[in-house]
Amino acid sequence: MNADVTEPTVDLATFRVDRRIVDRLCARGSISPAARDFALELIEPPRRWGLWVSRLLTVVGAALVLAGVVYFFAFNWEHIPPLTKLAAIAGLIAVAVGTIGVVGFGRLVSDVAASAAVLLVGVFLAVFGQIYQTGADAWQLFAGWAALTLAFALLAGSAAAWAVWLTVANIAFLTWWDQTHPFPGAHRIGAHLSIAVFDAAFLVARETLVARDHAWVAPRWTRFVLAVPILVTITLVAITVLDRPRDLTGVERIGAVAVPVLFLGFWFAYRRWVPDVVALAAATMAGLVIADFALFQLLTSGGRHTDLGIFFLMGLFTLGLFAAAIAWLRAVSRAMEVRP
Amino acid sequence: MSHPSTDAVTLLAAWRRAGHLTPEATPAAAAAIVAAHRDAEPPLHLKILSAIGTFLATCFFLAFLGVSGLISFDTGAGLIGWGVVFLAAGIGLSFALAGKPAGLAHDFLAQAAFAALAVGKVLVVGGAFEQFGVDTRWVPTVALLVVTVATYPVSASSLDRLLSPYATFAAALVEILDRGRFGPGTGTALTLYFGFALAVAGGLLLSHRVPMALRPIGLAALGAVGTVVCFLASGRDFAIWTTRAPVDPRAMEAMLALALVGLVAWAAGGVARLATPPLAAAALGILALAAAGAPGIVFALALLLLGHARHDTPMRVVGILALPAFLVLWYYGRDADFLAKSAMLVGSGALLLGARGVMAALGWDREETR
Repeated sequence: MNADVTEPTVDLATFRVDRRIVDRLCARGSISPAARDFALELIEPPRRWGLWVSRLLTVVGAALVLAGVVYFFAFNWEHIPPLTKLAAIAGLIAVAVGTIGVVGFGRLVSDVAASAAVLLVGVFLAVFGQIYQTGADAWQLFAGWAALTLAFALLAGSAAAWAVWLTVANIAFLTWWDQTHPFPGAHRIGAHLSIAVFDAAFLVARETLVARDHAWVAPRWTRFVLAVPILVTITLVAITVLDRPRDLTGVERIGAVAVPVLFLGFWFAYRRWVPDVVALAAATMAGLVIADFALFQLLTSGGRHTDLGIFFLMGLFTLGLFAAAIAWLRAVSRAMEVRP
Repeated sequence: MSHPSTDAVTLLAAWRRAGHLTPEATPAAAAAIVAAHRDAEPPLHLKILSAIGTFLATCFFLAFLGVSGLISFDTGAGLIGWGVVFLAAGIGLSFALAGKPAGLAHDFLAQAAFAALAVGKVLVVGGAFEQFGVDTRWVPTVALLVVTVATYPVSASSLDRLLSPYATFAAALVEILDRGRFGPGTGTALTLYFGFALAVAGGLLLSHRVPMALRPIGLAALGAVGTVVCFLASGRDFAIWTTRAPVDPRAMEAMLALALVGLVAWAAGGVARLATPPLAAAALGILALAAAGAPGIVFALALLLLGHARHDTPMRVVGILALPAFLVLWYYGRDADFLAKSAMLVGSGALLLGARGVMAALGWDREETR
């Protein structure tokens, strides 16, 4: 087949053809619509519309029924005796857990039920605190919620339930720093750093589990549910440290060391360990924003805020930096595509 | 990488075996694949990276122009003149790109062209405001339309090709709603706008014969439809804050529902397929949703359907996020107490779960189609 090619130096086997290329060929008239449809059938899996609609109905239907139950409680809240309130929520938790028991693990219905169970434990704690006026801080509610549901989230084997649990745990960190370290600046770095390290540990665990063929955590979105908060928080830490690099506090010093370590780990992991060009692009984007901010800080230090050349230089530097990153990511993407 | 694809050798061989390609036509098809590959669009993550870089660089260049005093921001003609200079530079750089092989120089030129076009457009629109006055009708829309038409054919960036038409659509929408000069005719003007955007989106996104270069205009039109739907979903009297009179959304809701039914027919392979029981049930469900006044939910379903049919992950993600958002808005916007809302929610949820049960009982959830 390669012998047919008009350019003898081109190795056609290295050219990947996806839907966009096929559409482009058809739009240009290079292939017939029938050839396009045939190619798409070869490239893409058949659409299982029935299954897709069925899943959509399950998720939306269950969400509407749950929301309706919440509205019912909201309407009658004042008139419901305290124990009935708690018993009703406990009953819903039991129904969710029972659903998993009946349908088994690893199904869409059990994923929805597991997520609902994790959420309802938080509702139970909030209502309990409201009825008995426990005086607990918000962080104690979230920390207790995370602690009580940890074992369940581990056993459920549901990526959706894990995502809910991680959100609760992240909020627990944020509220703990907010309420126990009420000093501006340092506590924000501490909160962001805690979330970054905590989520990084879970990201490593996620990649290890996927490498050991644990299918429930394999969906690609689970990587980004962890990666995005890590990158956002370490970018915020870096910008805060760069904003006033002198007189760093202890937490800020730890942040100054942790940020490059986390970035290097991220780049190594998604370039070598589990190649993923999108994750790499996300990390690169965060790194470029930090680099841009660092140079701007450097150039404007010493009261040179109004120097004309600084903005022009920054514009050129930004263009060059992002262009270099795009060129590098293209090269990395090509290298990943030809990997055996 | 989870993106579905195959290699060119396998595809050409398969085409030949299936009779879609003769041996004589194979070299031309191979050359077309190579050519299509060379000017294929960059993936979404590179587009986002490029957009952020361009945004930052544009801010720095505009700050430089402002601080340096090279350009007077007080005279409209001067701003337009400088805007034209930047647009010309951007167009020149875009032409220069055509002959450059892929690599760092190509990407730098592409970024520079995108930034020059962005700076030029900002200056021209700002200059038009200065020159003709903020209160003059249609000034931003016409200025954006002119710069879009002038740069679209040469712009190398698909993001620029998306954002520029969307900005034009958005400026026209502001003209219709916020500037309130249509008075009682606002509803008619908005309905015409909505119908036009819907027709452009459908015409450019659903036909595979449309040149790929025009697809971003279709996406921009879809964005304009979505913007109006957001207003519609926020309440039936949504335009009262600008026109002092409610806008009747029923014509727009009907258009949207018919568009979704048409989309189902398109995805199924033709209008005749709507006569089959599953698709007839789907069409009835869509019409019931429209009758319930839920344009947001209909639009989110359209995004999900179009994204699923085209294997377009970003569109699917937008649809997935839009569906719960519009569901919340719809129920929040109902004029009923919590008990009635609770009954509506449980009732509609039970209806959907019942429909799922019917699908399972009839075996409709096990069908495979292209």
